[in-house]
Amino acid sequence: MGNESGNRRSRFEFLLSVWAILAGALVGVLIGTQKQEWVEYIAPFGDLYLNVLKMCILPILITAISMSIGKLLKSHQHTHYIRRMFAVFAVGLVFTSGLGVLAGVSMEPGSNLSEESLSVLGKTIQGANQPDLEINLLEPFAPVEPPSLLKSFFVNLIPDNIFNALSNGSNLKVLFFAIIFGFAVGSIPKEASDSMLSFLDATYKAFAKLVSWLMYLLPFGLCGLIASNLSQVGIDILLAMFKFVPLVIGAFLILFIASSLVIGIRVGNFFLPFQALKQPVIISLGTANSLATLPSALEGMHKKLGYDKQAVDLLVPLAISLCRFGPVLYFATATLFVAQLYDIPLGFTGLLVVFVGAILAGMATAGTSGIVSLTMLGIVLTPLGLPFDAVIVLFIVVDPIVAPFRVLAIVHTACAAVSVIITDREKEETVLPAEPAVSG
Amino acid sequence: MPPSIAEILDRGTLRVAMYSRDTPPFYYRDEKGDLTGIDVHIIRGFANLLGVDVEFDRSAATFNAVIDKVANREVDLAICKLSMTFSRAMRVRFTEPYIVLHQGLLINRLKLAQQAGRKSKEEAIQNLKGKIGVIGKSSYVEYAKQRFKNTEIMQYPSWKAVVDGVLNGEVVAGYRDDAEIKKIIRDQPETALKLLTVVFKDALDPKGIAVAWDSVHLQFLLDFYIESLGLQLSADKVLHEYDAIISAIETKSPKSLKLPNSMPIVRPSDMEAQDGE
Repeated sequence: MGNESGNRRSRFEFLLSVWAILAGALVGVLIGTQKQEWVEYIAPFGDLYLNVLKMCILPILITAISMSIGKLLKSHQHTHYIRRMFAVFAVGLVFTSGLGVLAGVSMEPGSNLSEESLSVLGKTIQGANQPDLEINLLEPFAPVEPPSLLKSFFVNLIPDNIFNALSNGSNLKVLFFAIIFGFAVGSIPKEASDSMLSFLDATYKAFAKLVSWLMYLLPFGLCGLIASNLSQVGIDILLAMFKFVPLVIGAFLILFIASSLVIGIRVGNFFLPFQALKQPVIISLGTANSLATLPSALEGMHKKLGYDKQAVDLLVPLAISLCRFGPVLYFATATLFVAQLYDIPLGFTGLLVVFVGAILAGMATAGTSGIVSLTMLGIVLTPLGLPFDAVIVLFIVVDPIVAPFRVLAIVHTACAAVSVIITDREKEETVLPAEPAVSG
Repeated sequence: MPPSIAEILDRGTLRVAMYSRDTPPFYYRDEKGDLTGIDVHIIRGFANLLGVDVEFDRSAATFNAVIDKVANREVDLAICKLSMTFSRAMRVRFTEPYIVLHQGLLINRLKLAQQAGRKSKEEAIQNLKGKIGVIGKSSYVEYAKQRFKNTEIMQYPSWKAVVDGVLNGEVVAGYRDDAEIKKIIRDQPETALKLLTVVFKDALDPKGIAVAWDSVHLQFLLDFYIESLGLQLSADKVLHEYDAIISAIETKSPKSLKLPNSMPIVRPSDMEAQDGE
């Protein structure tokens, strides 16, 4: 790691090394668990870092997808990719949901909890000695009709005003716009579209550059993010969910290893995936935000693993936004946890409902992140007749611990899926530079 | 001297009926086995001002049996968080309520989720189906008949049995006042996973002291006494500010120095802020 080249910028080069990033993360862990009084001073660094990173995301998302669709249309490769994409995504979703169900069924995280654990869970649900509901008995309750899922999906998908969608950060709408726009750009005459494509390309490169500068600050940002995340978790609730939390994290890690193997098989080298995707892995664990990981995932897939830039720029954002491997696995295991908590035996049909429901609920989290996405758990729990409002609190409380791994599962599995979809690699670029290349 | 008061003063003891099962924090035996609680302190304070002893009769196994004791004049009054219901008021006289509680339900979350399906929780609760658990021969039998017409009423011997019935799914819900519902939240948080607690804002459960139908002046005096205590009781206050309530009662109704048997009879005229006859 010690690089003593005569490079002018090498003074700060050490900040890009794994050791610096790990040190930042470790300090964050220590502050978040041991020195909680420092969190308020250090947390803003994490938030600022995440905000700057998010600032670059939407432009990258739009330009990457529009440009790659536009170029693919020009090169007439697209039908081949689209078909493979659907097949691979479907297989991936089935696999993750199955893994989640398997983990829940085999390890039984919600069975035989001690009286003490139940008491902590109960206190967490109850909040502050208040009854759950205060309602009128005599006035008929006027229910708010919940919109249908399919309807709300399409409503969330299609923007009526793209600038509105951009300023609200509605990722799904932006994604839809980028795809449509890419098709449009690819369909106009070449002389007109070329200037547009080069504009998109320049925008994309500029923001990618910004992100690469940001990587110098990653250790500090990580430190703040991890510290503030960890300080929000009560230790007693973790003890009460001592079976569930390690189990899902374990399942995510199994998924991580499986994805690494898939990439390893595809590139013919089992160490390469770990090195090439080091940065996206660290950023997803540190920021717990899948889109914030997008730029580094694109770079890893293209520059370090040598996949075709256009295909990567199109497929990785699509896979991250639409193919929510992490939430799918999480919902499957979480549903089984709740069923076990309430002592509800799920027969084969019940497990099938969990398996399919987890895939649907996971897909429904597209465009949301964090706690909002947890509410989709209702999609699986309601058909099984399991109470949703009581248990959602439990998952919200442990989410600061679980979310980083869930995001890792989203991003890393998406990369693995893309490595399967793309059939050819440019071999000559796979040699890893010993130090990050700082090109002028 | 009005007859209902004179009778008590001549006897030298106030006979009070109280439900047999302990119901903290209203009336219960503490670790030393002494009877204590808010109702107990209120009525002891009243006896202090009258200058008589209190004799608690806890033989009534149901709340309606407590009312019977008052109606049959076996006791002077009954205080045990008694609900003031129409059918009871036909037989005995009630003071103004010393605490107005709300009715509430303790619902088995799973059973409700299965009943609700796609309906909202609130709607499912208002149109509750299945079995509803209450304490046998209590005011809640009457309330359940009025409010939850589609349910089958299951009468249990005690509140603990009702709660167990809800926990193991024998009944969909247990029905009682919000002080008892909130007590479960406070003392048994481990049940929160299984139990949904609901308080009805518009269904009140006023609690009064019962006296015989013709003990007009005793009722008046009790009302006057409760008014002078100015406790402003509510379920939350009772559960979370118990000590403050007890000390308020004690300062306003001090125990006179007890001289065995040769005690001067303290007349109501010794009560503070008393003028006229």
